[in-house]
Amino acid sequence: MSPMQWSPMFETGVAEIDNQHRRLVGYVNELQSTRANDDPALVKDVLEAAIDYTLYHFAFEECLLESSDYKLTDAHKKVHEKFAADLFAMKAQLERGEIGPRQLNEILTKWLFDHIRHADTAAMRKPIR
Amino acid sequence: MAHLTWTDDLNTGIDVIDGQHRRIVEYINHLHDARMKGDRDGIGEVINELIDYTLSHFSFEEELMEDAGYPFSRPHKRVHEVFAKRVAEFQLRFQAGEDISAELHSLLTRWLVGHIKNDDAAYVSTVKAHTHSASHAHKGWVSRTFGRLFGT
Repeated sequence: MSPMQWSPMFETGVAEIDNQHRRLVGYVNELQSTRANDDPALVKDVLEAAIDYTLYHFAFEECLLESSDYKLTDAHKKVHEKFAADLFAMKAQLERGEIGPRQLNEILTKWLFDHIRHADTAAMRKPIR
Repeated sequence: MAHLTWTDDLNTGIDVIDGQHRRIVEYINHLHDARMKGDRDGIGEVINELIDYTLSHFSFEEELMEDAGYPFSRPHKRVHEVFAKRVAEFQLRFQAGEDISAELHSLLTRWLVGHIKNDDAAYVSTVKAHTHSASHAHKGWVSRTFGRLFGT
């Protein structure tokens, strides 16, 4: 899989959120290059940092959505909650050797792409205040 | 993992905030020392002090952001709340007898460095602009708020 490239279609129109998404893309790509080096300890480090930052990003984004008039805030939060639980489950699966770094990288790339492209661009379309 | 060392890229340029971040680094290093000694009481003490100081730092930072009119103060505050809850869970696990010190040490290290370099950097320009426009009043505000939150 080639590294995930930032594209203008990912832009939500809210610079802070776009910057955070860029950083998430950076983690996914870092995971991929770490995987290429075949170092399980490094993969774990990158995944842990990616989980921390994802939780940070979700909290930030949810707070913005709550103060906007976006109708699907609760649903969006549910999606975050489910994904956060999935992340911790994937970390445990990785530690037990049930999934490999390659699968992890593919799942995260797909999730991030879909989430930014569809969910967040819709959510942030309305002016946030 | 060795001691965390303060490097210039951790400076936000807001002295009072940098001082508090340095203090948190010291606490993280104390946690490391207590772990190396295998001193469970010492570890518990450092965890409590570290959490207490970090929560005061969060309150201080939140007031600074709000006072400066940083538009994303609320989401930043929410992030603090979520992190505080996560750390409180570690505290409960420790009190229940689990050895969480290595996990907590690595979480705090990652979080502090990431938070300073990325998340705090976002509010710095707003706070600095505000500080320059109201220099004298601001100094008074900083020392009053500092005194109230840290009891100095």
